[in-house]
Amino acid sequence: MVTPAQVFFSYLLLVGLIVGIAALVMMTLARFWPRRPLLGLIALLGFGAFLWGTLALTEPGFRLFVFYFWLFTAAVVGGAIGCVTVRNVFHSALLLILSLVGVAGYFILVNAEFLAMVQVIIYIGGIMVLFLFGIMVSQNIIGTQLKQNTPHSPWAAAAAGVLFIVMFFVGLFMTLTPSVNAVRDPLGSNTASVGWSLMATYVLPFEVASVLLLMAMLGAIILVRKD
Amino acid sequence: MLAMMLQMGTEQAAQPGPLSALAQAWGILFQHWFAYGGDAPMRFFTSVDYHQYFIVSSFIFCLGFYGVAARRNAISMLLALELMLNAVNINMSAFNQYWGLAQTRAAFTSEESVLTNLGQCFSVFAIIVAAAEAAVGLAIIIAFYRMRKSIMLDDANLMKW
Repeated sequence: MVTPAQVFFSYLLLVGLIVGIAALVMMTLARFWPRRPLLGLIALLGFGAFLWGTLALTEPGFRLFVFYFWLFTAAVVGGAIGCVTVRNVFHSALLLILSLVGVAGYFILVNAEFLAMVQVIIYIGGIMVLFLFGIMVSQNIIGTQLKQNTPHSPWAAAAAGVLFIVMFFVGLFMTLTPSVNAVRDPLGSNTASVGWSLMATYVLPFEVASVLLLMAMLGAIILVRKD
Repeated sequence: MLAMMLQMGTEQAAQPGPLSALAQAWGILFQHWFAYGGDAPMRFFTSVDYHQYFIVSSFIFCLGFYGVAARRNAISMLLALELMLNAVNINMSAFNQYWGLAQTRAAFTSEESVLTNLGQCFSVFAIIVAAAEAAVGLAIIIAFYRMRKSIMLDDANLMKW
């Protein structure tokens, strides 16, 4: 029996193979392939789709959920790597927006629809627009080819790498007992549950957060006011 | 002679040396890979559990740490800080999904257990704090830019010694 997911992944496999081979042929024919990092990226993505489609087709109980997880993972990880490595700060902010969109997808996958909407409206629509505004205000200083890293950045990379290796093994060997038999969102929708919790259980942190936002607003106005 | 050598060999193998202790420790560490009949590396990519969320979010967190530590530009540093905050938000909502504390339904009549949404509420507060941090941080950067005509953190040395 052929499931719709298997049909989808067989097409993904085919398209990935064709795109990967085409990009590889173009890279080989155009002998200046080091100057075309986009083609290399497309070839890598195509062959990744091919390998991953093969993997998914051989797994018996495969769900489309997992495909969306790895799609959002590609957005999150690619955007984050670009955000901390690109020299142009404006492009860095745009790649961070890509990463935040992937995080909103994660929120959908873990049944946190309210958080996904908050992520899109407040993070991407508010905070990132504020960042882009700040970048545009100081843009004549930034420069697109200016060196953006400190001379000590290899040490920072080494420390981050060691931290990631430790956390990777912790995450790999972590065993928790998942709570499967519990009722999720008894009020019917996720937004209703989160709203009820914010207004009833966590009302004191909610009020403290509103005071914090007021203080931040006043502080920002006072800091940038012309004397 | 041969029997004596074999006996010696078995005696030596029976005593755990430092290398065998190391191998035993690595065996304990990696036995989880073979828990599903040897396809644990493949299962990592074809199923989603809290492990995947934790590993991806720890990768994002380490990238943010690298960005905060290595960038000279103040705005780039704030962007990397946003990455770290988002890694924490991913973790909190994912662990709420897979490991949310089950509590009894005190406000309702039945005895079923309910998932709390403590992690999601905490993510909401983290987003609120991120908004405040972005506003105040950008205000400080713009004030600094007005004073020194630069947003590179190397130039922020007025309070150094």
